[in-house]
Amino acid sequence: MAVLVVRGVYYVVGNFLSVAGSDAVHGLFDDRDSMQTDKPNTRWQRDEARWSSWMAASQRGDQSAYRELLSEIGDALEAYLQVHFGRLSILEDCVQEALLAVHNARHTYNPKRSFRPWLFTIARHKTIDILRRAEGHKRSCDALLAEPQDGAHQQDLSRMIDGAKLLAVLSEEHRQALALTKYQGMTTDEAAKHLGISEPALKARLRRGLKQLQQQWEQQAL
Amino acid sequence: MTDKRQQMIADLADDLQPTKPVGSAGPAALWLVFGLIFAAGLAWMDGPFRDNAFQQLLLSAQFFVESALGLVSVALLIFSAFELSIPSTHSFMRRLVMPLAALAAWVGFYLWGLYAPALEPSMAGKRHFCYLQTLLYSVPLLLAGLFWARRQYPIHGARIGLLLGLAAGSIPALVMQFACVYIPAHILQHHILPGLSIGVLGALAGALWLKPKK
Repeated sequence: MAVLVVRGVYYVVGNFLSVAGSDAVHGLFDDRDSMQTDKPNTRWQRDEARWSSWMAASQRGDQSAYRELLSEIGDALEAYLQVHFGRLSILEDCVQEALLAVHNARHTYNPKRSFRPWLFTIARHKTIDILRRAEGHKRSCDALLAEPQDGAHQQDLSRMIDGAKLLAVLSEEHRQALALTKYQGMTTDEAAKHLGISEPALKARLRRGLKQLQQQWEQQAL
Repeated sequence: MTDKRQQMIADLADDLQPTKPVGSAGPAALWLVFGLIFAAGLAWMDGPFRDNAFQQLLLSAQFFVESALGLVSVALLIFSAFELSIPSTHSFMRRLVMPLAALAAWVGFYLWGLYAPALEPSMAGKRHFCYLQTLLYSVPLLLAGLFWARRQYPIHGARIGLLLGLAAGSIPALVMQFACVYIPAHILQHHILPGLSIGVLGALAGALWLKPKK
């Protein structure tokens, strides 16, 4: 029994003390991120290989690789967020903030690991953070009335959130709160009056809705 | 792609500086080694370790397993804390549950020791203020861990802080296994409990202070 324990401790501690080689340690904590490169999707694998090598080159200071990487992942993030949130008014802000976060966190990327889980974890976190912070853009009645009323341009709420996969998991009251403030651009005061509830109650719905969104999104990623 | 985004990408690329990937296993191992040296060194400066404490590792299998489990749980706690500081699709079960389970098993040994202690309980090696020493020796270790985590991209501040606090508190508790008396009730009350309370402090500090750079 003592021999088994010694072997086990040696294996664990010995690997921790090995600064150069930590593959065995990572093997103890095999995450989905390291398994995702086995996904039988060639486009996924091509993207992964390309982005991972560009990121490694960027860490060495290669500016042209970095430019290519940010351009491609910017487009990928935009498509990713559109699938989950539909036509969010602050979508471009989310993409740019995510790219900035990638820039600030690039020292945390380990070239031996998958790039996509690292990237999309940052993007998810940034998006939820922005949604929490985003103020409704006040639009005057005049501006609303000034818009053409034909079907192509009408700001139809259901069309704006159509295809927002992630919002479907929310309860009706949470979805409404998010849709009015983050899609239609109402302030919390306006949205509360629209729904016939108090402003603190609306803010509470927004908080709970975003928390639920974040949990669902993280669950989907696992 | 919008013009604004294009301009932003151009600015970021022009501003690019080489950076070395930091990893988590190496820093975790360094934290563990220096943490043990730090806590053991301070304890030694305060007074000698218990007589024959290290020989007791060979004389009692239960004592050996207790000590080894303590070391393993600290290692798992700090490794998980540092891993969680780096963005990834972490498995909650592995990152949090495994180290906490190891810690629970370590504490479980002392609870079992209330009925069947690993060594004959005695007052040999008694230290005054061992409770306070455990608390005080933990704080610099916790701060070092928090500083490191903050420089990464810590999304789950409270969880990281909890793991850091438990690791930081467990190191002096483990050192006291050799530096102070061996009485399981004393160990639980004056070494383990203050060590675990640093976990609570770490969770609070993590929730307030560990946020990704904006």
